Amino acid sequence: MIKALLGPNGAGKSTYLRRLMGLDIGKIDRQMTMVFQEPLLFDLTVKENVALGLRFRQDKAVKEKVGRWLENLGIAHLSARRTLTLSGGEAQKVALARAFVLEPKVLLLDEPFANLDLPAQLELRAKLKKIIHDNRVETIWVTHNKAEALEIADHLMIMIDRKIVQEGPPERVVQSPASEEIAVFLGIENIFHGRVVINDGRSYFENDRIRFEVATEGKADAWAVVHPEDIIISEQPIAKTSARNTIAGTVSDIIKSGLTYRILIKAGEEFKVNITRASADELTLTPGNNVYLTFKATAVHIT
Amino acid sequence: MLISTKTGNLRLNVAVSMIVFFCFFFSVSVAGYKTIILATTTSTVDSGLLDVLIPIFEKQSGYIVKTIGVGSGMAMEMGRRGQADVLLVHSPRDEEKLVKDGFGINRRAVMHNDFILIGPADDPAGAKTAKSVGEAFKKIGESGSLFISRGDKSGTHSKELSIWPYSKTILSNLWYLESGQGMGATLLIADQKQAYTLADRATYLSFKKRIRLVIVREGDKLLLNPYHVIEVNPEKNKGVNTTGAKAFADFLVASATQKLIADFKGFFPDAVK
Amino acid sequence: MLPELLNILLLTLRVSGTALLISILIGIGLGVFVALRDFPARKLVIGVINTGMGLPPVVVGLLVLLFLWRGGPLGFLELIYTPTAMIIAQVILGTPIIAGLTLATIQSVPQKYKWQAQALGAQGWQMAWLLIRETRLSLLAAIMAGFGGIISEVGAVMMVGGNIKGQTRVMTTAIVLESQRGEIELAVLLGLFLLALSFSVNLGLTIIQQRTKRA
Repeated sequence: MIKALLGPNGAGKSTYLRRLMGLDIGKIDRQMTMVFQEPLLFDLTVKENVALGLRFRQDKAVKEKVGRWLENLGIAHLSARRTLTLSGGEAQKVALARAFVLEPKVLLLDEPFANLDLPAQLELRAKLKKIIHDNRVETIWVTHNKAEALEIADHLMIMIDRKIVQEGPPERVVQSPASEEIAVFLGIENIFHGRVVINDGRSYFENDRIRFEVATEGKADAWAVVHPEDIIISEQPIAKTSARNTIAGTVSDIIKSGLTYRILIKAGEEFKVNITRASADELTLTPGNNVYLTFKATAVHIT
Repeated sequence: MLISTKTGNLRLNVAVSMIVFFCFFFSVSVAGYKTIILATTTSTVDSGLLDVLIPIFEKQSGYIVKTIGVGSGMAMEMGRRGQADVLLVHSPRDEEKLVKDGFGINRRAVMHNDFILIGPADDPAGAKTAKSVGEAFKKIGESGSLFISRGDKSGTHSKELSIWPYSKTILSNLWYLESGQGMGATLLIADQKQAYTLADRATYLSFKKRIRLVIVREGDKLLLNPYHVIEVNPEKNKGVNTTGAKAFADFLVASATQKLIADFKGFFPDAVK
Repeated sequence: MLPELLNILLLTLRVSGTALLISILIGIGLGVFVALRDFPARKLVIGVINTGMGLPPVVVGLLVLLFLWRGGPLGFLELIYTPTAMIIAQVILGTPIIAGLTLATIQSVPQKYKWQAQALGAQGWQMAWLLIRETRLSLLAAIMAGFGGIISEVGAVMMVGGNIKGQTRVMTTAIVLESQRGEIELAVLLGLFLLALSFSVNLGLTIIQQRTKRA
């Protein structure tokens, strides 16, 4: 089970891990171990480094365990090398082998791939995820990289300003950020500030610039989030649809990004809508066009 | 490398190292029972006489003698504090005080050597023409020629200071310098500066080949340098090796030893039969 | 002359060698301990060690003399004017040098390495061993500094040893004696011997040090 701890730099994630590890009070739990952002290898051979923790515990099966884990991480050919000659990726693999060989109850990873180049990051990320799951190691993986967190997490924790402000399955967290701060950090778009009022048994989110129907209770101070993928653009308002909201707006910008287009539309507030290139071509969108935005009341996430 | 990567081996290595050095450490100690501490002066040590006498005594008696060569003042002090067992010194006035104060017993004459006044070969002060050592000193003072004093409360220094009153000269640091060091060093300084100085004959003889100074005045009764052996009084301090001290003192005045002293250049035996 | 010279040389090796060994054991142990552990008056201890690096040998000799001579607190041990007393004085001189430099070396290891070692389960001795191994280049330099201080000093061994022929005369005190006597050539010869001895030991240590450089 991988718990990802995601947060901006300076949020206190490393401090949190170090406290879990007991490093702040100098009393460590030998059933846990930690891998840091830098490999922090000692001036020994690769195999001696990997064996270190086992030797500290006076383990009897050092040779066998070290051999096995060098294989697992794909670095058996480096076993007799001195650590200064290793590349960043190789060194980090040694650091990981050194941790896994201890068969810890809890594995703490502090941004283990932050110092590597992108190809190395991607390769190691997938490999590590597999190893963790194959060996069923309870892992807390700290990262500031959203893509990494979303890729590897079974459970996602967001830390901002030294506090864990939200946690849960990653899809749920991303879909429903618990606060604007989290939403902004996660890069979620179409965030509006206002209030939710009940009128004639229906809920509306409103502020000075916009008003649309939502499906939640009344709230004096609310944030509304609509995912760019949940909005439909049409040249004419769509007749007879279950979607409660249809808003008129003007195209202000079109950002092309491969197969998806990001359309910026001014409709009281500024909306960002993601549509396929095919649709964009069919609709012949250009800045200045008048369009209609359609989305469901239930597609609005209120916090 | 002593330290291997196995932490178990580290403990073994440390243990072995500790055993090895403890053996080393204690093997270097010397047993203290048959030890005598002899306090004497640096000039006595420098003369080399003791290098002849001590081994003979050690062989005969089985004692080990620790010869500590210090300044005369320090030797007396060691006697007062019981830090030595026997003294071989040559400052009669201080010795008499030591005995009077009760710190020294069995003071016996052993030998004497003599002091000489040495100076530059061209004798700028005309000291060679003086009729006594006191007058020689006077001529040095009057001419303002450089004079190097030991200045270290040694026997030589005391002797020198006892001569100045006879010269009726006032010392001035324009020409009177103090080296504060042993006889050898003082001779070298005097030689470098081509100055006058008072030296014991034995040291002068051993330095003769390397300095250009010559004997300017010798033979006065005032220039005699008598050595006495004094046993340290055990009643004043604890831990004094009295039997050892007596054995050594007896050895020094024994006729066989006295003969060796007579044969040693610069020294004359004085023990009364 | 030659047997006496040999005697002096051997005694120098025994005294300074033993003193160095003891200083290494105590010095590195103390340096590592103070560097890694917190305890009351730690800053004071560090201050004492750092001051100790610059102790004047003759003052150390005088103080040891007062302890070891008759009537002194340790006079009953009858160590005065023996090589053991000289070793004691030299240990007092050498230990702070090695301890102080070890302390600085271990303290300068970045905290993250210590964290990593802890995270791997290093406890007490294990952490000490690991860090000593990591910094052995610098520790060898500390040892060379300690050796330099010990082999070159004359004030302490003169005071507590008495420069007794055949018993407590080492190279430095012999040089003083012979130059006082005016035996300049002999003094210079002894001096050259001493330099050669010091050079060979340091050469040996340097070879070990440079061989442990990271490959």
